Amino acid sequence: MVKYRIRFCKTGRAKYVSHLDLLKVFTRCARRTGLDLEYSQGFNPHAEMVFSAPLPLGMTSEAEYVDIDLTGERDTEELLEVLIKSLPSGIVPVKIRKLEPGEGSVMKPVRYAAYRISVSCPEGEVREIFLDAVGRCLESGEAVMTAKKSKSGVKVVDIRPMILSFGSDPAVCEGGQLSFGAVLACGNEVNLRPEVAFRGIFDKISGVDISKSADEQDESVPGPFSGFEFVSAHKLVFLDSEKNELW
Amino acid sequence: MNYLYLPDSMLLSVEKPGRYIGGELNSVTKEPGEYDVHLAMCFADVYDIGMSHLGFKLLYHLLNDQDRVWCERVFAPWPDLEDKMRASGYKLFTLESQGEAANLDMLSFSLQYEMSYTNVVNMLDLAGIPVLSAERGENDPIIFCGGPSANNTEPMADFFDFFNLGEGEEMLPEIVETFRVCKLKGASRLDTLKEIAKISGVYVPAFYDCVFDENGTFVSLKPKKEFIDVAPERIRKRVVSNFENSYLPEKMIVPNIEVVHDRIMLEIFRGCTRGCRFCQAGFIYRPVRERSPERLVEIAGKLLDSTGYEEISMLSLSTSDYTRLGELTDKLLEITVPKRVSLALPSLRLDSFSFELMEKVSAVRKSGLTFAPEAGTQRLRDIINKGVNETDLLRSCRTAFEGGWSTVKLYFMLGLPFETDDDLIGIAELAHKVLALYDEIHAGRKARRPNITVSVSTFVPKPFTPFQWAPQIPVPEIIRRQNVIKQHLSRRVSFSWHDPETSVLEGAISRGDRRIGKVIYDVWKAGARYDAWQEYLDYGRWMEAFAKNGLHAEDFNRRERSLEEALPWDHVDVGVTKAFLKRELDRARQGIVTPNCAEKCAGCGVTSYGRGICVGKIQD
Repeated sequence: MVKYRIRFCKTGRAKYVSHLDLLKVFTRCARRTGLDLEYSQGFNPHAEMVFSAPLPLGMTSEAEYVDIDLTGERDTEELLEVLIKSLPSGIVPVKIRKLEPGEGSVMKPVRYAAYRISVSCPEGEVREIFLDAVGRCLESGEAVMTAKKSKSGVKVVDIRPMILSFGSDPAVCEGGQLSFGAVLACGNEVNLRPEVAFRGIFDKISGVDISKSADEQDESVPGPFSGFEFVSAHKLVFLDSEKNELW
Repeated sequence: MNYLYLPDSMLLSVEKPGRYIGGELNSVTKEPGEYDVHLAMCFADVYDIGMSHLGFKLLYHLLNDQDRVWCERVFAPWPDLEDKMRASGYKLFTLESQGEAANLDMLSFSLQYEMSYTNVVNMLDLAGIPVLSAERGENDPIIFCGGPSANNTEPMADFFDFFNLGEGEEMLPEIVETFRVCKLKGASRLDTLKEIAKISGVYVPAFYDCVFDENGTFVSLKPKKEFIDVAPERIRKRVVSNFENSYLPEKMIVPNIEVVHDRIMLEIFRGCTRGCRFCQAGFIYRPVRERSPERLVEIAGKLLDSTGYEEISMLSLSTSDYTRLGELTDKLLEITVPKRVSLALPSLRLDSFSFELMEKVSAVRKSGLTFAPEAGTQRLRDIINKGVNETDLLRSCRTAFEGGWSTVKLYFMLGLPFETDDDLIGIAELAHKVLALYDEIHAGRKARRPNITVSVSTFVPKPFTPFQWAPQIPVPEIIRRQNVIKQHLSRRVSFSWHDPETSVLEGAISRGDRRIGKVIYDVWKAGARYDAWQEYLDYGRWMEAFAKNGLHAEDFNRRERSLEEALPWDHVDVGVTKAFLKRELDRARQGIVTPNCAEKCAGCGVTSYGRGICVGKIQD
């Protein structure tokens, strides 16, 4: 039994392929290409495959991983080529390596993920003002309280410690959207989704009273950043505790 | 290609956006210049259902294998998305090019069940195409259909420009080629339809006059004078010239999201020798023709390589009737076992041979065994010509229980012609015998609790069957009969039944005439869509639409039709003659069983095709 780790991109239409469906996509790809996957023992044998943390539906990524168990050794270059040819469009393997015995799961060292976030927004100066406000908010070190889903339900928590950076390298992209970088907590312990980070910071700098529900908000006075909406996020890379990029 | 017709914000706000994005493995895209005819296969239900139909996928690949043709796919958006699309002015779109369906040359709908008809109308409207054939102009796509429920053409005659009757494998290439020639010549819509009407198996409703008497009873359907040279009096169902070698795709689209039937389906034979008198499929798919194990295994191998599916399922009306089943199973296992592909043999008649097979394929988990006695007494089983008897059934159950099975599902129908309460009580009694057998086998031992289910659907008389003249029982009577069974059934047996209102509507549409089209139009106008889904069906809305047209569902259901009267589907010749159907009805009345056509020809008329089992070459 030989373990391989594949890093792949999920782009284009494939962002609508759910994490659960991804398992099928890979097992069927293995069948098509004649890869001899190691199967679990038992009544209902299934291929052993371990994916990195689920990517939210609609998010694209350059840092998705899957570990597969093969019955025998394969040339990695050749394997990569075979996979590229066989996977459906939008799921693109970029590199592959053999895992050393005892090497842990891909998620084990992961503490952060770097993203590119796109928001829709009005044109003009307000973008600069928005980014300034974000910067000041983060520098102040004040808590950023926001509603966040966890295993035990929705809770209002301070997400500030989960934000390493937000709003870096801004650029105006296609369709007049504003895009910028962010590094957020990611991993088995703490995890902050880009959308939630955006919502938290946005509410804070807009002066939204988050103790009130969406229906109770005073809509008559437009906030300073009305028209700013989260559009999408693109995951670039995983980082470990030393902020080193993962393979 | 990454362009999507709908914005991400809309796709992310609906259930399963993967339904709307296309781009699956083995889906086909072509460049402009590579094709002259641009059409789409349309399915009037959601992606997950449409992508589960073998015929739909087969014809998609067949059309794309034609020279100068590009065929895309269109499904109905689920209501959550449709509402958002309409609110923002988005139109019905195709999956492959992610463009508006209205820009195509032709849209071909696969009609699988009557309750999807409102979705057909709704899809046309969402596409921005006039829903009525008569209102479409030179720039609109040609809208046509095929599939089992297209055989009674009239309920949807106002909406379709033409119907394909019979097997599409040879007809569709002829149609697209004829269309291509017309298009390149710049022929008008009418001239194009005239050319298409000449193709055997095609019915163009606008070329016919439909006559009713003053009571609204259907009188006749005849070609209009001006179309007499292109429109035949009767349209004969098309049958492929050689089933063995008829088109089978070697590549098949593999959906990225979970669909209902997500596996390789191998159609092992077409038609059915049994002649159960309630079963429309058993008559309209005649003559019975098989594919050879060699061809099936070859195709299965190619499909496994091109799709990577983990399961193959045989497909037919009755797997056990395939003459070389043992041989086919062994040969398939030779390729599936090394690849860890599971093999499913659905709708097996459970005799000792089947158990042997099931042991072999071992894909059948010891959880689900189903039997379909269809009726509760031998008397009624003889009437419907269902060749199952109690002894066989109990013997099979014994084998199953001794083999460790504890779950048995029994399928029945209620509302069958000549049914009495005794037959309903018989359903409960049969279930109790199965239960008693289980208890007897496990007496004195610690055993799993048996899980016996009685599932009762409501019989809907269908055209082209011996019961096409029979009355259908109304809603209160359906409920009463369901209750009779319920009252007699032990609490240790679970009971499931069908919604009576759906059955009544299905009945009215399936034996409806052209007037039903107005009802479908009105009920759609009033908001009907996704009527095949219980949560969207509004029976009251349908009743109002009937009333608005001076009709009632019961006009179509309750009345016992006289054997002499003209039927609205008489212009469709499915090969099975009316004389035969009358004979079968008479035998039903007398409780006489008609033998399987593998044993003795019953003279149904399908021999006129000179194919398959009728002429002694089952492998055709």
